[in-house]
Amino acid sequence: MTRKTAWFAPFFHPTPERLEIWLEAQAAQGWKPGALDDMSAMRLHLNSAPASTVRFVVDPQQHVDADYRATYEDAGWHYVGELSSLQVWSRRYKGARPEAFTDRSSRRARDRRLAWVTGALGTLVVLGAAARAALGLAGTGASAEDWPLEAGLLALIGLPLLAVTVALVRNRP
Amino acid sequence: MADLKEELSETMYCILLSLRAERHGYGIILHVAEFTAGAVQLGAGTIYTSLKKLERAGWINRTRTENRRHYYVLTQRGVRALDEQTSRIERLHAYGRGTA
Repeated sequence: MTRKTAWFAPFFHPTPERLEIWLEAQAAQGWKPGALDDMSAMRLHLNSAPASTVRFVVDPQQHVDADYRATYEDAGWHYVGELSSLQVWSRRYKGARPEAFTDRSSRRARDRRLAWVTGALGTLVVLGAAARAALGLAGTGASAEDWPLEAGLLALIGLPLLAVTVALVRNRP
Repeated sequence: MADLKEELSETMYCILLSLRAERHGYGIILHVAEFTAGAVQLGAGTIYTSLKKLERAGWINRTRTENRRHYYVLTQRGVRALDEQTSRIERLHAYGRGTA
């Protein structure tokens, strides 16, 4: 097997640290992410490669400019690609595991950036679930009897997003 | 602005010191490692985040862009902030040494 697919990796490993650790474990087992595209957040292809010690960094940055990439690349990082506004970087290393965020405040800033996204999205989806349940209970709207399924699905998406937000906000490196 | 002063970390202070002369992100990493004899090693993510923060606070200005790299230097406000921080650290040092 030269390629395998990981489904919904950023959702199963929802914080940057967890995704980094998972990617590093894959690299240690000889699996490296291929070229990332718009679908990679859902299905991430991992290509077979010699097992290696690689540091991955997941940096939630939605709007990046050329200077952002130049700063990382000058510092020895290789750009892997973007996973739904998460910029992914890698670097082979020997000895101490290199860090891209070397102080507490920038690590917290990174978590806050992601928390804003998951918090806003989670709140919207949970409000949508509540609204759907309210409309269903009131018996208004088309197919009013479907509300438990629809509201439940929305809650199933929104609540984990809010849980990730809480984990990020509480995270104190 | 007040918040930035209150939370000014060793990292931020070193970046401000480095930007007394015009430098780009990686130039700051190298310069800080040099004048701290390797004691402060800044990561690329930290540099990028800190530069944005300092620029928003008006302490540094982007001077030019060359080969994809933005160059920055302290503004007058940044120079004043750096002087204030240096005085504060000197004061604390004097308290610590019992010479104040």
